[in-house]
Amino acid sequence: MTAIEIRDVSKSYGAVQVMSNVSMEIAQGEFIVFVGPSGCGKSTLLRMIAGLEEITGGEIAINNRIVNDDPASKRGVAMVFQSYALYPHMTVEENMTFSLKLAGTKKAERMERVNNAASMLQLSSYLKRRPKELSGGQRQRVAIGRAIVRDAGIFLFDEPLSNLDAALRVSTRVEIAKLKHRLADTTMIYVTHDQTEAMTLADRIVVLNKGSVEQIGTPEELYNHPSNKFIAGFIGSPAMNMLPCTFTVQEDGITAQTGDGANCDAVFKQIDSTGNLTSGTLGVRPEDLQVCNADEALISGKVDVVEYLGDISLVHLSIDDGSTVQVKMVGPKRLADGSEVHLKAPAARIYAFDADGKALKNLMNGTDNEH
Amino acid sequence: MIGRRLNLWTTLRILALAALVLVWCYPFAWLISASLKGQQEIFSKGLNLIPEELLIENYMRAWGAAGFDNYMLNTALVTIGTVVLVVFHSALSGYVLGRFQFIGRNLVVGVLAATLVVPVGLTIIPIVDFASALGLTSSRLGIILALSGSGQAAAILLYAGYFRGLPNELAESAQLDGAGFFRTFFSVMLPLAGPVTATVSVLTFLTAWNSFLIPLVFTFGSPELRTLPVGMLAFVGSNETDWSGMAAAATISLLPVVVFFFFMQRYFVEGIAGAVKQ
Ligand SMILES: Nc1ncnc2c1ncn2[C@@H]1O[C@H](COP(=O)(O)OP(=O)(O)OP(=O)(O)O)[C@@H](O)[C@H]1O
Ligand SMILES: [Mg+2]
Repeated sequence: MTAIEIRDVSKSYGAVQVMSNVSMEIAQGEFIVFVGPSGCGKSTLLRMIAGLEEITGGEIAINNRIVNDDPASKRGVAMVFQSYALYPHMTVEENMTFSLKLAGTKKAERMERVNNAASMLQLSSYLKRRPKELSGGQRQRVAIGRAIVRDAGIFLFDEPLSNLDAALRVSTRVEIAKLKHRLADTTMIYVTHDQTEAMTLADRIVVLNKGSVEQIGTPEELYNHPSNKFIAGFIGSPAMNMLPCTFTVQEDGITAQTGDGANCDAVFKQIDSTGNLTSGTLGVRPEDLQVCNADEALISGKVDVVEYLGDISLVHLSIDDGSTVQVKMVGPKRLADGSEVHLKAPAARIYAFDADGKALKNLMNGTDNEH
Repeated sequence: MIGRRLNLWTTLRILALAALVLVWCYPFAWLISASLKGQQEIFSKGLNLIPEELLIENYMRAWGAAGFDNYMLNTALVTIGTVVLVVFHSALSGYVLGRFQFIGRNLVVGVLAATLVVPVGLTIIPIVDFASALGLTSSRLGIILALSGSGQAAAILLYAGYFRGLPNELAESAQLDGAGFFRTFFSVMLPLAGPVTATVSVLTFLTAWNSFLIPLVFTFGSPELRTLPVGMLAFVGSNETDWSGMAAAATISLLPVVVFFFFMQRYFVEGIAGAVKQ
């Protein structure tokens, strides 16, 4: 069942258009993550769904009802803000029951719901405290509790973890993942610019860029089959290495040559355009590169820096054309700065993009699916 | 060794401050002392603060005979009414000015700021004219409305500045929780503006309690509605002035103000300093 449908939505502030033609359908119970670079319109889109921001073009429907003109309180959405936005003068309990009081819910039921939410979030012993007497993580949980108590069909989160320190961010992320299972019918939309949060929490990820949707898909789809160069560079950490290349169109597919003249084993096919294809970009993820001999190398470069991270080392290479390439290598690598390294990647794990950044299909990648 | 060693500088500072305190407090002490002296004694004793004997009857005279029991009630009612009304309307105006964008907003703020420099005396004639047209002179309600209706620009701007500083998410959160304009204002915004409310209350309390011109003009025809400052005039006779009775009356008028300020000063200072953290 479709919980939220966004049709051709756009948004302008005066003459400045910040969002254009965004469309998507979100099923009930889905966990959707909006990611994208800062300023791409994630918060704006979320706030338009919430009813906090006017929709200047297109329609948003919640449970098949167009809500463009409905006030926020009538849309059945609860929102968790980055700054928590708890009422400072109310206790945790009052914060959580404020909406219920306004809705005229009976006291007994209010207490029951608060107690349920509090025990779910381990807040039971803090109900009488004020927000300023809580730690950041506890405040965050109260903010989530406020949403749970309302029993709203849709939860909206705007970067809820970004004010927490690294360790707490991880544990709260796990809490949210559990919450998602416990509230399986609740549709959740979650804004973040943290890769890990997006990959681990999402059923589907919506990648936004400059106010429009770049791609919507499961984390696996986005990682394995980015539809364009932007997605390829955006999903995955460290980012995919990009190498300028020239293409040769042949009978049985397209082959590519890097700027260095190295041949790439992979064979590609244009997905739906048949335009003139001469040059473009090859993409290889840092985790797919392996050290090899000079004669089979796709990339050759000199070691700049080695970052030892424990389980892996991140090696930064500088290439002759001035660009840099990152490689993940297992274990501590003792590579002298300035030493020459040759790298190759399995043909199936090489990506290619045309001059406009559109992805080509890798014919060596057997698990490829069409989209 | 117990305590700190006093060096010369510290000693000088303490002496200077003590002198200041003396200069500040002396008139009050003199007033209280005068309220316990006899008519002649006030003049013969000069600056000497110690009365020969404590003439409590000055207070009896002021409280009972001069009608200060009644004036006290009037003043209290007028002051409380004014404080409540001023807090209500200046907070609400400040809320709208501070948090909402609308056409002419800057004009309103500009006009408000301009009224800060208009002396009260200038507006008294239109106010009285207006009030009598509405039949509101000779009534406590009239005095309250006249006192709280004008000259609240400072309070409004204080509230506006404070509300502007509150995070947007709070209002949005309330909106999502289903709170409308007034509910958001009364349940979320106004409680958070406590320090400003304290400041505005104290300032309004002082002005209303001590206001003279408006209550004077409004009670020309009805002496029973006079407030304390107006009532003070009764001690000035055509032939002689009851100085000790007046001093007693003044002391009576001061007492509630001092008590009120004593309890509010902490919040007052906090509000003035604007040092409010979540
Ligand atoms: N009130 C406003 N007036 C004009 N432009 C605005 C306004 N609010 C947001 N914008 C613009 O809209 C665009 C999208 O903003 P938005 O806050 O949605 O970005 P975001 O993706 O949430 O970024 P971040 O990751 O930094 O939070 C930005 O370019 C921003 O400058
Ligand atoms: Mg944002």
